[in-house]
Amino acid sequence: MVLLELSDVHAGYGGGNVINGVSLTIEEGTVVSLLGRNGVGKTTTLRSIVGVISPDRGTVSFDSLDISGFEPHETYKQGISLVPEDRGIFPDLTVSENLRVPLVDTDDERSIAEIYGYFPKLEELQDSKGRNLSGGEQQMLAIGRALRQNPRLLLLDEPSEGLAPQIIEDVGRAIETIAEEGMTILVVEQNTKFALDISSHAYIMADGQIVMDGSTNELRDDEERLEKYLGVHET
Amino acid sequence: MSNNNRNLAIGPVELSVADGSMQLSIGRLQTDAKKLLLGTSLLVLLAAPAIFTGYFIGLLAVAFLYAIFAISVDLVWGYAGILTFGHAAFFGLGAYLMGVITTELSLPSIGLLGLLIAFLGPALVGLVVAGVLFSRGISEEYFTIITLALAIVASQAALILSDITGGSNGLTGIPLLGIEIPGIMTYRLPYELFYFVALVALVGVYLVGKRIVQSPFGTTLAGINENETKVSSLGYDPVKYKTLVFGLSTGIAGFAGALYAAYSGFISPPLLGFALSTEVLIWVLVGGRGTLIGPVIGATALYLAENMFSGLFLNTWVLGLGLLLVAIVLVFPAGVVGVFSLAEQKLNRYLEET
Repeated sequence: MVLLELSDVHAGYGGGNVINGVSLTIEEGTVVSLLGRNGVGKTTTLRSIVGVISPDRGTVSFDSLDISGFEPHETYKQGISLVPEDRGIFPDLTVSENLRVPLVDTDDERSIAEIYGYFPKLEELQDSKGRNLSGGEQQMLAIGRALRQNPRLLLLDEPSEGLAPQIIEDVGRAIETIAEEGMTILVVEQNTKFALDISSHAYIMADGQIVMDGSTNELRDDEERLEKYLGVHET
Repeated sequence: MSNNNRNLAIGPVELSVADGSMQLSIGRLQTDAKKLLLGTSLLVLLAAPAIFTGYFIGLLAVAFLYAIFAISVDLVWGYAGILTFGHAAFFGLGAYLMGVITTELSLPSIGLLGLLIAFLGPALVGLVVAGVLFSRGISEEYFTIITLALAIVASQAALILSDITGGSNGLTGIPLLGIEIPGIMTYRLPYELFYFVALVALVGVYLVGKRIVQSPFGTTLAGINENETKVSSLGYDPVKYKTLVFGLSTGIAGFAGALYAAYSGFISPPLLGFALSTEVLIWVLVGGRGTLIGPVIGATALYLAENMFSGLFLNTWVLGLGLLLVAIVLVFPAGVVGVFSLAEQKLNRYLEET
């Protein structure tokens, strides 16, 4: 079943469009990545899904409901959780307080204990202030917090950014565990290797448009085009 | 953890018994000092009518009402980050509602009902204005400009609707608070006791305000002020929160205005206008925005100073006030309360080192 579908989405800021006709679909229960160099419109695509900006043209539909123009709190209520690029941790709140911030429907929430199950490190740090966490810990907290409402779609904006290789592996494993339980995930990344490792399908963006897509296995073999759009050598 | 651990806390004093050894610790000094200061000030204020002249007590009573008004502004500006240039419109609306109900409707005995209506009316107007504007996605800067227009519209309306408002002459003969249930009881508040009513109202509004800013509603509001997108991506509707706090604030402003009308007995269009709207911003800023107690101190101190010194310095008072504002913004952007908390931090650090 298609959970999220963007068709011909144009969006941007103050009249200028950053993305021009993005179309993509995400099947329920899969991990999909959206790759591209800095500034090609990946984050803008995420923002137009959650409603931080509304598309000038095109539609975003979620479980067959047209959610184009919804506000962030409305898409959240539909079951879309975003982990923003800056992670959005409240620096003055502790780890456990940060986890209690999201508005949850108690019938559907994942308990704090469940979140600690995915990220044992967070339990150790439960009384530490957000500001005292390392980048990796903040990333785990941000993902854990986004899981609180037991979302139907989890959006991750550059989860590996600024993290040490070892920590990236930890975060990647946690994402895989969550995915194995059936969570649908869209990962935006510049780290191609990391993204291809955790997802089954990938879309590649350049200049505000999707320029290629395919299964991660297919893409891995297409080194020439990966190099062209992403400027990386895959091994 | 051992089961032998026991903690007993009485106020700031904490007694803890752990595995046979006993420890007595006294809470952090500044919490004590703060409570002591607030308690002492309250006692002094309660005893004030026995100490000071009636004139001064009268000024103080009005200062308390303006302090309530300043708290209402601090809720939206200090906590929600919404600057309002037109809050006097709501203070004045409350005053006029009180005035009209008690004089024009020739029902002088329903002062208490007047207070309620003077809260609900402005609250409703505030909710509608903020609800309509914010749900249309208007930015806070434009909202501020619209509040400015609101103050101008309100004072013009008070001039034009002279059948109800008395036009530029205003309304006179507004009675002090009272309760009358025909045939059962009649009570008129003696003039001297109004001071205590104002004090109780101020303490009450302050405590309610404190409760609100510390509640989940208040912390969510602070989060929205810090980063609206971040908070709305966690499921909260910023429009709802901003609208509610604005409505609550305009209600409190109206309540303060109604008490003002009852006490002064006379109201006129300037009460709704731009001048009072900006003066309250100065009180809040000088006292310390986002602290609740700061605006109370700012409003009280500056209103008293204005009335005691403006006679001496005539027109230079406004100049002095302007210079004070510039100095505060440049030197102590966190206001009077900010200066105290800085001193408090230094003191704590000193105490921890020794």
